[in-house]
Amino acid sequence: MWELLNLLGAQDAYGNYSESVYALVRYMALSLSAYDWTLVFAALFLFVELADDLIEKRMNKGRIGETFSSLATQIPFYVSEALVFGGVVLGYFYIYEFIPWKLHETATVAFLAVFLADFVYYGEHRLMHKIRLFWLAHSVHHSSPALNTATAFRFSLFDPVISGLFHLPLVLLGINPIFIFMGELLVQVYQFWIHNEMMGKLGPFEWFLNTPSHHRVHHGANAKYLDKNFGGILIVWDRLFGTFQREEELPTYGLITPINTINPIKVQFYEFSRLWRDLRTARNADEFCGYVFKEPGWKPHRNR
Amino acid sequence: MTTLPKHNPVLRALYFAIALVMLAFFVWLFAAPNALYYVGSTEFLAWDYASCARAEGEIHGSRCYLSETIFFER
Repeated sequence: MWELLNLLGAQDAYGNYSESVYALVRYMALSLSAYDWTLVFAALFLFVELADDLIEKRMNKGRIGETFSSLATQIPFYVSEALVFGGVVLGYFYIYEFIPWKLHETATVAFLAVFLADFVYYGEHRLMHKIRLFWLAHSVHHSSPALNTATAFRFSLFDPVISGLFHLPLVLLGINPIFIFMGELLVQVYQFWIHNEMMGKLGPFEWFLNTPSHHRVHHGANAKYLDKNFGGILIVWDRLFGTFQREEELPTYGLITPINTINPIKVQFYEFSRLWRDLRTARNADEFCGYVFKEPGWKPHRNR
Repeated sequence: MTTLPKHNPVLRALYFAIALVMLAFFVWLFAAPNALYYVGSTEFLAWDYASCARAEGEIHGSRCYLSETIFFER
C-alpha cells in the first residue's frame, strides 16, 4: 500500500500525505474489507443452499459438479486479474495525470463513482450479451444450468480485460481511478447475493434494486427472458432503457445450447471453439466480422 | 406468480437471517467511523494510524482513528 502510494507520488516534498490520500485509503480499506467479508457471507449462503439441496433430495452429481465447476473458474480468473489489474491501474493513472478537471476525493465523489460504475456496468453487461467477441468471456458466467451462490463467482479469465476497457471513460470525467476501482468492486460485491433460488420477490425493493428474482430472469434461457435485466445494483437502468422483464415463472437456466460439461477448462473455452467453427465457414471479411462483432447466434443471410 | 423450488423452512429462515445480518453488517461497516478498527486489514489500520498520528502532530493512541470520520474534512 505504502509502495503504491509512493509510486503514485502521493507524498509532498516533506514526506507528508494530503487529506485526499487519507480519504482514498479509508475508502479503499472499506471497499476491500467489504469484499473480504463478502466471501465469508457467500460461504455461509452456499452452505445453507447445499444443505437445503441435500434435505430436499435435489442434491445430485450434476448439481455438485456445477457448483465445483463455478468455484473452480475463480482460479484462472484470479490469475488473470492479478496480471491485468496492474496494467489497468498504471494505464488509468497515466491518463488521469493528463486530466485538468480532476474531481476532489470527497464522499460525494465516492458515491458518484459507485453510481456511475453501476451505470457503466449496465452498458458493459448489455454489450457483453450483444457482441460475440465479449460473449466469449461472459458466456462462462451463464453456462451453468444450476443457479446458486457459486454461480456468482463463475467468471471468465478474460473478464478483467473487458471491465478495464469499459470503465476508462470515468477516468476522463476526472474521477480518481481508486474511486473507480472501488466503485467497480462494490457493484460486483453487491451481485453475489442475488444468485439464488431461496428468496422470492422483495416487495418495494423490486422497483429499484436488482434482486434475486430479477437476476434469475437474467440467467434464464427462456425466450422471453433472453437479454433482460442487465443492471448491477440498480434495476432502474433496465426500466429506463427497455430491457426489464419481471419474473413470471421460474426460468430454465443456462445457455440455449447447453455446454454439457463441468470441466472447468472446457467451461472457460467452449465458446471459443464454437466461434472457431463458425469462422471457418466464413466466405468473406463481412461474414468474418459478422461472426465476431454481431450478436451471438448471428448467421450470414445464406444460412438463415 | 413465481413458484420457487421447495425449501426446508428452517434453512430458508436461516438464509434470510444471514442476509439480514449481512445487510446490517455492511451498513455498519460503511456508516460507523470506527468500524474498520474492528474488521479492517492490519495493513490499512497501521497506515491509518500512522497517517492520522502524523496529521495530528502527535500520537493519541488508538483514539486517533477512532475519533475520525470516514472522510477527513479538516
